[in-house]
Amino acid sequence: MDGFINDVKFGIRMLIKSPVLSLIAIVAFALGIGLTTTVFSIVNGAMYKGLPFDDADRVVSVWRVNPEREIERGGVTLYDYVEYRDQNSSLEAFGLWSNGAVNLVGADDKPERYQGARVTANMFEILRVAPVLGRGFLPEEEEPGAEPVMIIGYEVWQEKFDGSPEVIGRTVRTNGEPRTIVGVAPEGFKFPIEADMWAPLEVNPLEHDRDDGPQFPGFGRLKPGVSLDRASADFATIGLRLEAEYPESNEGFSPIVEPFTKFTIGNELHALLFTMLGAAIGVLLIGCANVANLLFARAAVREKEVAVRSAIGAKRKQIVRQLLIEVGVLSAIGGAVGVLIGIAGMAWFNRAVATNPPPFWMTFDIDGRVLLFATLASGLAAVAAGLFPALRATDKGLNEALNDEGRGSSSGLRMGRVTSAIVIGEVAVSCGLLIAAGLMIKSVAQLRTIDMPFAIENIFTARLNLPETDYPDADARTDFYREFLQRLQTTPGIEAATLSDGLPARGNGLRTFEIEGVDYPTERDYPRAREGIVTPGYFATFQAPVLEGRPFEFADTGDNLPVALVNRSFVREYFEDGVGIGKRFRIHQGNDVYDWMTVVGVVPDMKMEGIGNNDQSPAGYYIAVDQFAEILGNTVSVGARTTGDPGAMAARVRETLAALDPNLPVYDAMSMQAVIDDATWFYRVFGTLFMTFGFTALFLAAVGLYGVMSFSVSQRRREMGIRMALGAKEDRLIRFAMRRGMRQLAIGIVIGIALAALATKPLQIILYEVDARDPVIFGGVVLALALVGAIASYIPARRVSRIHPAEALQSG
Amino acid sequence: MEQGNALIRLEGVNKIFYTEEMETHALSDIDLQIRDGEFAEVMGPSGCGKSTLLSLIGLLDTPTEGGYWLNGESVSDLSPSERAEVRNRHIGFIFQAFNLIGDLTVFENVELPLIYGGVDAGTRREASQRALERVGMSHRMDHYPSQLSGGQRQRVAAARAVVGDPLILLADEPTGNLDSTNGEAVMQLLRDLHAEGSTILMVTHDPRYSAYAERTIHLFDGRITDEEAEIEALGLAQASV
Repeated sequence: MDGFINDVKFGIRMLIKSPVLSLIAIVAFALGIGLTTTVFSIVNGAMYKGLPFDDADRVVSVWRVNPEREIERGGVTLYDYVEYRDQNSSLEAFGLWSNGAVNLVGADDKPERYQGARVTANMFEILRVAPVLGRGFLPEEEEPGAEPVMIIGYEVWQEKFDGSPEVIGRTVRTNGEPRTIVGVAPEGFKFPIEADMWAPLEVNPLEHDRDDGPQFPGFGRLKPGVSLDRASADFATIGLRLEAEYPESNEGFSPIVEPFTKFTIGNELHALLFTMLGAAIGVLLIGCANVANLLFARAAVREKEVAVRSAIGAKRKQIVRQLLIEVGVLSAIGGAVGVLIGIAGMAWFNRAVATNPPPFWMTFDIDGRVLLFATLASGLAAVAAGLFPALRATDKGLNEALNDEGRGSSSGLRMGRVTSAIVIGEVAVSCGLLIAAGLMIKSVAQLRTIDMPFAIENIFTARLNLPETDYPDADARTDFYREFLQRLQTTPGIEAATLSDGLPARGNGLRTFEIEGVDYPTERDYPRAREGIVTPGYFATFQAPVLEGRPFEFADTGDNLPVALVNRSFVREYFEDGVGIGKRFRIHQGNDVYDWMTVVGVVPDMKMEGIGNNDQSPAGYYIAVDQFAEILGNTVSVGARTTGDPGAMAARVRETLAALDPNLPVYDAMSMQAVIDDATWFYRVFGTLFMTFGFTALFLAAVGLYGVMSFSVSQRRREMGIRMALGAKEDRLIRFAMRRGMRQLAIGIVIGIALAALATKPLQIILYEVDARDPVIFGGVVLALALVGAIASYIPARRVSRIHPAEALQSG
Repeated sequence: MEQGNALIRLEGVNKIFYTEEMETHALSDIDLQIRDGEFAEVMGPSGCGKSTLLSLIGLLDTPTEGGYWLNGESVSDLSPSERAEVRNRHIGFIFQAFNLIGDLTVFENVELPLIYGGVDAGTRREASQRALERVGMSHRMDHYPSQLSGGQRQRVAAARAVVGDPLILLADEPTGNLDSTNGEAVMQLLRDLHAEGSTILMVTHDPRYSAYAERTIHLFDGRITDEEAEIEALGLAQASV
C-alpha cells in the first residue's frame, strides 16, 4: 500500500512535469471515456435497468409467435389466456395488458388526454407493487358487467386532484364513461409502458369466436426456482396441445416467454445500440492508442530511469505497476472528465427524446452501474494504453539500458514498429467511424433539405379521440366529423382544414386489397398498400395537387359510389397501362371484403410509407371518411392551414371542439414542422451521436499521427543530420520523413474501408435515404482522412529543415 | 559459510555476446573471489570486459557459462525476479553517470531501494537520513538531482547504494564523470565507507585511484591477466576450502 501511494505520488509528479503529454492523454481518455459512458448510459437505460420493482427480472412477457405469418410478437387471445393461466406450472400469476388513450374529465370539468392501460386484476400482485392510496383491483372487477373502477397514477393524483385523499371513491368520466377511482399507484409507476391510469381488462372469451376477438400481450411472474427456459418449455407444451386441439385458430401459433422489457427493443434497435457502443469503444481505443504512442515515446527517454530502478532492486512487476499507475492517474482524471461529458451527454439525450418519451423504466442518467462502467473503462483504458509500453520499457537488457547514452537505440526501432501498427489501427478505426459519421451527415442533411411534396409551413395539427360510449357507431362518428370539419373551416385564422386517420409523413397503415380483373391464386397473394382515410379538403389543406381526376367531395358519402384516390407509385406498381382513373379495387379486412371502389383521382406520393422506411414501397391510396368511417375508428388527426402562426391555433381549435362536445380533449397539438421534426428525431439524435464519434475519431487520429511523426522526426535527428551532411535537400528530407506516416495512413485507410463496409450495415435503420455503402461518402472520407493525415505528417516532418547538420551529428 | 569469508565467488565464468554474424567473448574463464570487507578494484583498458564483469557480479546480466556464489549461495540460476530481490537486499550500485532519477528528490532517490524492498515508511525515513548523513548530503535531501553538482550527485548515489546495508558496493567508474577535486572526494567517501566495514568492488581505468583499493584485478581481453592477483585469488579459494 505504501509503495502504491508512492507510485501515485510519483505519477502525479510526472503528470505535472509533462503538462502537454498529460493534457493530450487526459483529453484523449476524457473523449473516449466520455463518449463510451454516454452511449453506455443510453444502453443501460434502454436495456439493463429493467422494471423498477421487487425481483423485476422474474417478470416476464408472454407472446404468441407465428413465423409463417411473420408474427414476431403477437398478442394472446382470451381463449388462450385462460388455457395458459390455468395450465401453466411456471408462473406465480399470469395476466394481460393493453394500452389505450383515456379522455379524463375530472373535478375541473376540463377534458384531458392521458395514456391509460387495461390490465387484468392481478397486475399489482404480479408486479409486487402496492397502491399508495386505496386498493388494487379485485378479481371480480374483470368480470363482465362489473362496476367500472379505475386506479390513477401518482402524478395524475397530484396534478389533477391536488393529492387529495378524498379522491378514493370519486367518480370521474373516462372516455365518456363514469368510473370510480379505487386506488392511486405509487410515484413513477407507469406500467406497462407509459400509463397514467388503469382500468380492469374484461376477460370474457365467450364474447368472441376462438379465431376472432382481441389479443393482448401477456405478463406474469416466474415461480421461485423456475428458469425462463423452463417456463418457455412449459408454455410451448401448452401451445402444442392447443394447436392440436384447435387447429383452425391456433395452427402455427406458439407461445414464447421472455424478459418483460425485451419487446421494447427490437432486433434492429438492439443492433444499433451495440453498433453505437462499438463505435464509442472505437473512439476510446483510438484515445488509448494515442496515449500508448505517447507512452512509447516517453518510454524511450525513460529507459535509463527504468534500468536504474531495476538495478537497485525493483522487480519488473513493481516497475510495470508504477508505470501503469502513472497512466492510471491520467486515465482517472480523463475518466472523471469523461463522466462530466457523460452527464452533459445525458442532458442532451433526454432533451432530444423528450418529445417521444420512452417506456417508464427507461431512464437515462449516470447511475451506479454507469459509474462502475466508467471506472472500469478508465482502468481498462489505462491498462490498454499503458501495459504494452510498460512491458516494452522493462524488457530491455539492464546493462544495455544503463550504458546506452540515448543514441538511436534498437528499442527505438522496435518501438517504431509497434507505434506504426498502432497508428495503422488508429487510422483504420477512425476511417470506419468517419464513414459512419459521413453517412449520418448526409442523412441529416437530407432530412433538413427534404422536399416534402406537401405544405409544412402554417399547418396546424392535432388529434382527438371520440369515446365509444358517446359515439357508439360509424354514423355517430361520421356526423361528428362532418360537423366538426365544417366548423373548423369557418374558424377565423383557418384557410382550409381536414380530418384523417393520419398525417402526411407520419406513416400510414398497410391494408390488403385486390384489383379488379387480376387473378390472385390464393388469399396470401393479395397485395398490400398504404391506406389513408381522409375527409374532403385533405389535399387542399396540405397544398398537394390532384394530378389527375378530382379530389374527394362532400358528395362522396356512403349512399354514393365508393371512390378512391391513388398515388403515383400505386399507379406505377399496380396498373400496367399507367392509367389509374376509372380502375376499380376493393379492400379486405379480416374476413370482410368491401365494395369495389373506383379510382377518381391521382395524387402525389405524400410519404405514406413514413420517413426513413427506404426499403418500403410508397404506393398507397386514399378513401373517404364518409364512406369508410367504420374502418377509421375513434381517433382522428386534425390538419388545418392557417393564416398565421399555427402554434396560436390550439386554443381556437379547442374552443371550436368544446362548442361541439365539451368532453373531448384536443391533444398532440403542434405545427406540421414539429410533426416532421418529431418523425425524424431518431435520425437526428443517433445521427448526431455518430457524427460526434466520427469527428472525435478524426481529431484523435490526427493528433496520434502528429505525435508519432513528431517522435519519429526527433528520434531520427542524427540520421537526418547525416543525410543533410551528404547533401540531401530540405524538400527531399521532408518527403522522406513523411513517407512512413503516409504509408501508415494508406494501410490504415484500406483496412478502415473494409471495416466500414462490414460494420455500417446496422446503421441502415437510422439512415434517411442514404445507402450504407454510399460511394460518395466512402470516397469523401478517404480524401478527408488523407488530407488531415498528410497535414498531421507534414507539420512535424517540416521540422527536419530546422535541423543543423553539425549539431545533429554531435547530439547523436 | 561454505567459502569461509569469501563474499563473492566466480568459477569458470564466460560471457559471450551473440550477434547475427559473430560471437564476442566478453569474459573468458573468470575465477574470482572477493572477501568480506575487501576493497578491490578491476582495472584494464577500454573494452576489456570490466563493466561486463561488474554487471555479472551485480546480477544485472547473466553469465553464459560458469558459477556464481554470493555469500555462499549460488545465484547463477535465479529468475529475473529473484535477481532483483538479491540486488535489492545485498548489492549497492554506484554508476559513472550517477543514474539518479531526476524526478525524485535526493531523499526519495535514497529511499527508493527500501520501498522496493518493502521496508516500512518509518524505517525508510530513518535509514535514508542516516545514509545521507554518512555521505554528508543530509542538508540537501529535498533537492532534486538537477540542483546538485556532479560530486554531490555521486554522494547521493553512494547514499542510495548503502542505504539498504548491502553486502557489497559495486562502483562502475565512480569518478568518470567528475573533475579531479570531486573525484578525490568521492574516492575518499568510498574509502570511508570501506573503513566503516563496506565491501567494495570498483571498476576504474584511472590509475590515480588505484591506491585507494587494497587489491587490483587486471583484466585484458576478457581474462584476468594479473598473475599475482589471480594467484592471490585462487590461494584464497584454496585456503578457505
